[in-house]
Amino acid sequence: MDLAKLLPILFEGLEVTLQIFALTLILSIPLGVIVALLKMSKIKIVSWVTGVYILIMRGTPLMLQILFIYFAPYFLFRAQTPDRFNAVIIAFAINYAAYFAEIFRGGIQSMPIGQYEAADALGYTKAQTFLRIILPQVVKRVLPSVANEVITLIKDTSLAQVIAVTELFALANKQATGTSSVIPLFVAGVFYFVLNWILTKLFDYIEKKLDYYK
Amino acid sequence: MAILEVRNLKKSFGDTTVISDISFDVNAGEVVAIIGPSGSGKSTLLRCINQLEKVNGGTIKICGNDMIVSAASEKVKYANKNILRKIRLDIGLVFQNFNLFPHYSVLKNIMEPPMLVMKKSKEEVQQIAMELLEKMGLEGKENAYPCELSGGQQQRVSIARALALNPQILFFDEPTSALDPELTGEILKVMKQLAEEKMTMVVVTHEMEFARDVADRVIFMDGGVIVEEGAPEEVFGNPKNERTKVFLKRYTER
Repeated sequence: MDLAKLLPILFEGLEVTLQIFALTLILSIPLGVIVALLKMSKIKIVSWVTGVYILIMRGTPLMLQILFIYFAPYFLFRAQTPDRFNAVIIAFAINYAAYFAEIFRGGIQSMPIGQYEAADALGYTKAQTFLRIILPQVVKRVLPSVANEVITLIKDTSLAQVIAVTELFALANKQATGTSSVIPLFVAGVFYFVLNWILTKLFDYIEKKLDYYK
Repeated sequence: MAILEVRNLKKSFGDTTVISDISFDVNAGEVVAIIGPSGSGKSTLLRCINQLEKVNGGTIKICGNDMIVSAASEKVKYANKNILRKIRLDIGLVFQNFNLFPHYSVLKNIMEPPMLVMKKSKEEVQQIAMELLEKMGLEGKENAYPCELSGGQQQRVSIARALALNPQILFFDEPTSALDPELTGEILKVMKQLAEEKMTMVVVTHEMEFARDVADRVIFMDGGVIVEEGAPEEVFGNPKNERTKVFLKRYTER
C-alpha cells in the first residue's frame, strides 16, 4: 500500500467530511434554538407540530432521511432532483436540529424561575432576558451534551456516501476494495479519531473557560 | 402623598383564594412591615404589586399611575405596555433567594439594568454602582462573582442592584429568610440605614424585631386579608385581634 498515493485521496475526502460537519453545525445549532422555543410555545398546535417533527427526526434512521431528501422531490412532485451535497446538508441540518432542540429545551427548562423574575422586575424585555440572562447560562449547562452530539456528527458524516457523496469513508472504502487492503480504512479511522480528539480537547477548554461561575 | 394605593385586591390560584380583599396605602418615606403566618398571602401580595402575578380583581396605583385600569365585572384590565413599564421602573424588588445573575460580576449585576433598561451612560452608572457598593459595605467586591460571596453579601448586592434603578418604592420579599442570624443582622442594618434615609419600603418579613423597631406601620395578614394594621407599638404592644395575639405570642415565647 502506497501511503504517498493514498493520503492525498483521503485528504480530499476529509475536506468533504469537514464541509458537511461545519455546515451542519452552522445550520443546526441556530435552528435547534428556534425549534426548542417552538416546542415550548404556549400555542398548542405549534408545540404539537414541533413535537411531531422531532419524533420523526429522532425516530427514523438518518440514512433514510438523506435518501428521502434526495429522491422525494422527483418521486413525489416530479421536481428536479437536488444537488447531492445540498441534499446531505439539508438532511443533516434538520436531523441534528431536532437533537439540539431537545438538549436546549432541557437546558432552558432547567433554569430557575427566579432568573426570569429578577430580570422581569428589573425591566428587561423578554428578548433581553433570553439573550442576556438565560441563553449564556444555558450554554454552560448544555455543553457536555452538545459535545456528545458534535462528536457523533463527525462519525455520522460517513452516511453521506449513501447518495454517493465522496466523503472520507466512501473514498477509503473504495481504496480498500480496489487494493484489497484494510489500510485505507484503518487510516480513515485514525483521521476520525484525531478529529474527535481535537474536538474533545476543545470542549474541555471551553468548559474550563465557563467554570468561573457556579 | 400615597406612593402605593391598593384597593380591594383579589388573587386566587385556581379554586384556592390566596388574597380575598386587601386595601392599603403606602406614603412617601414610610416603612411598612407586612407580617403573618406562612400561606397568609403576604408574598403573593408583593408579587401582584410587582407584576409577577396577575390579579383577579381590584386596583393598584403606583406613583399616580394606574396599573389596572378597570376591575369592573370579572375581567381585570391592565394598563398599556408603556405605563406598565413606567410603573416597573418606579418600583424595586428584593427577593428571598437574591436571584443575582451568576454569570455576571457584582459590578455588572448592578450596572447592566440601568444601562440596558434606562439607557444611561456607562460612566454615570459606574459611579452610581461604586457609591452603592460602598454604602453596602462591599468595597473591593466589584469584580467578584455571586458564587464567591456569602449569602449576606449576595443579598446586599441584590439591594444595590435594585437601588441602582433609583426606584420610588422598594419591596422586600422575606429578604433574610435564606440567611443565618449573623447574616440577617447585616441585611437588617442596611435596611435600617435605608429607612433613616427616608426610602419608601414595604417589607414582608418574619423578623419581628425589625418590624417593631424600624417600621412606621405594621400590617398583620392572615388567610388572605389584613387582620390588623397600625403603628408597631399598637400592634405589638396592644394587639386587638385574637388571631394577632396568638401569632405574636408564639414569637415572644421563642
